[in-house]
Amino acid sequence: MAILTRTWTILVLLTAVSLWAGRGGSGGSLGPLGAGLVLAAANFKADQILTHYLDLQRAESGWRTLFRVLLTLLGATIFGIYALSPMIGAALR
Amino acid sequence: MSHDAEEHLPAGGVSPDDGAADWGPLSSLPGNPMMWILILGELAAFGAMFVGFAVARAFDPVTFDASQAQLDRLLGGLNTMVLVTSGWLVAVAVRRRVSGRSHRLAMIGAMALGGVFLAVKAVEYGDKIGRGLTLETNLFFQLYYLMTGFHAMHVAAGIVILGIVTWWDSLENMETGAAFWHMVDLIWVLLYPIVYLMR
Repeated sequence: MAILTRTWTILVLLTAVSLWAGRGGSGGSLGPLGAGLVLAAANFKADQILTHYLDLQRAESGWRTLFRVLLTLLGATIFGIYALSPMIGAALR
Repeated sequence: MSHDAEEHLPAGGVSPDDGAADWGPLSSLPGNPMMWILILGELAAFGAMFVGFAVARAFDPVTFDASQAQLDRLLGGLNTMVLVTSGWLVAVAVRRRVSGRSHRLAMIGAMALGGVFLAVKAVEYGDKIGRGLTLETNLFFQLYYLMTGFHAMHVAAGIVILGIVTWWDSLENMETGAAFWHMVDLIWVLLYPIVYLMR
């Protein structure tokens, strides 16, 4: 139970950090650092949910590795598209 | 509620020699292996939507960023906290079930928080529609309604599933229902920053 409560605390704190990193008014890009921070926090939260809430640590280690690889690939792909978007926009103009 | 030998079975709730289907590597996962096939499928579907959203944004960042500014980031963040708290209650309920303690109150609390999530979502939708921001506004709002609406349908289905496994509360049922709920939780944790925060 203590691990679950610690996990919940981490998830709530990271949500607050993400909200802070992504705050602001209507304008202003987060920039690669801010976007990377927000995505990394989301990825870590997803990993915590898989490991402790879903109790994937009980399963064969290959499952946890598979989910971690999938989440990392997804995060890296979205970050890559985000980082490349100014170039894509320039190419379209 | 009885707490019999099922508590001592391996993850998946199936004894190796009880004649049940052999799910191979899936047998080591908590709950019914069919649920994990669904979870993998759902993650693939939402993952494709997230990548599609990022690509669409890359082609028109001005419209996407201006549209995203119309969203309420605080309400989105609040809903994240509501859902991770609900997930915590479900995880606690499963652990209490394993150790033979009362778990129904935690499950009812989790379902109630699922209802809070949907209520907050309804407030959000009402605000957007009231301001004329609908599916027809632009591609951002089409994708916003598609992704958050599809997720909200999963939350509604999840509340029903939690209700069923609260009533028929074998350990395997509880773990299976919990796996679905945590999948819904996990998808929102990824959806929120991509749709509400990244710009």
